[in-house]
Amino acid sequence: MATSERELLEQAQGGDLDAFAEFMRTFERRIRAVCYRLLDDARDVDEAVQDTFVQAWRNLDRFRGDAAPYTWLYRIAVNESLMRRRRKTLPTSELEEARLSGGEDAFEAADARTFLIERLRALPIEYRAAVVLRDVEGLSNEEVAAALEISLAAAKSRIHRGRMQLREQLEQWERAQMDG
Amino acid sequence: VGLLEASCAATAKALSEQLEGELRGLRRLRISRHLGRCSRCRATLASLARLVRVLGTTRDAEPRAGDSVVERVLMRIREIRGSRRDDRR
Repeated sequence: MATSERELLEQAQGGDLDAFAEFMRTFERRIRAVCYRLLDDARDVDEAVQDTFVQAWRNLDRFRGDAAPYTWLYRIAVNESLMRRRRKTLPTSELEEARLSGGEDAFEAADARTFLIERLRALPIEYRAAVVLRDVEGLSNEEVAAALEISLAAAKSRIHRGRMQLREQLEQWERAQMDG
Repeated sequence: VGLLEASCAATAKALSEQLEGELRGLRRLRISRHLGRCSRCRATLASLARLVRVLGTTRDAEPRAGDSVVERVLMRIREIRGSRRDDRR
């Protein structure tokens, strides 16, 4: 039977670097997906993924086993991504330009999936993180709350508000597709 | 719309919970009564369900993982371990 993620973490806590490498291989793709959705600059993604795992290694002793390993890891990835966003010192006008141009491209998308991938990027970050974890990554509402370190009510509210914004845009887009 | 039926605004706020089957008691009754009578809110619920379905299919649309990331992290961890050992000496 394959070693469980929890067992891998426990072995890593005991200093087993091979176990930690296996743990990273298990989650690297998912962590990359989350960082990719939360960061606007694709060049930051690789570094954010690396920093997530280095932080996880540094904080292995803080993993107590009360949360699922992936929830704990998602929490670190979200924090790393948000910190990286905050550190960015792009002038406001440049940021605004990047955000707006992403939106225009999205309305020319060939299918709903491509359209939504682009529109997700234009959502306010707190809604974006919640929707990505819930609807793209498939976490439960409770796991989203744990990963974002917010209350369950706040997590549900952010997920719903984010969804409703996207829903309205998807509806507009679908209408335009039918008219066009 | 009254004690036993929610308004459009209250229904809009509860659509994710409706979708996920999380509504209970009187609130559930009020929302389902409203949805039974309001075609606009039903259409909104249907488009929300469609959105969630499509979002679920975007999971694997991110760039392929770089094979070297694990190796690079391991290298950084070995450096951290090495510097901790040096500090202890």
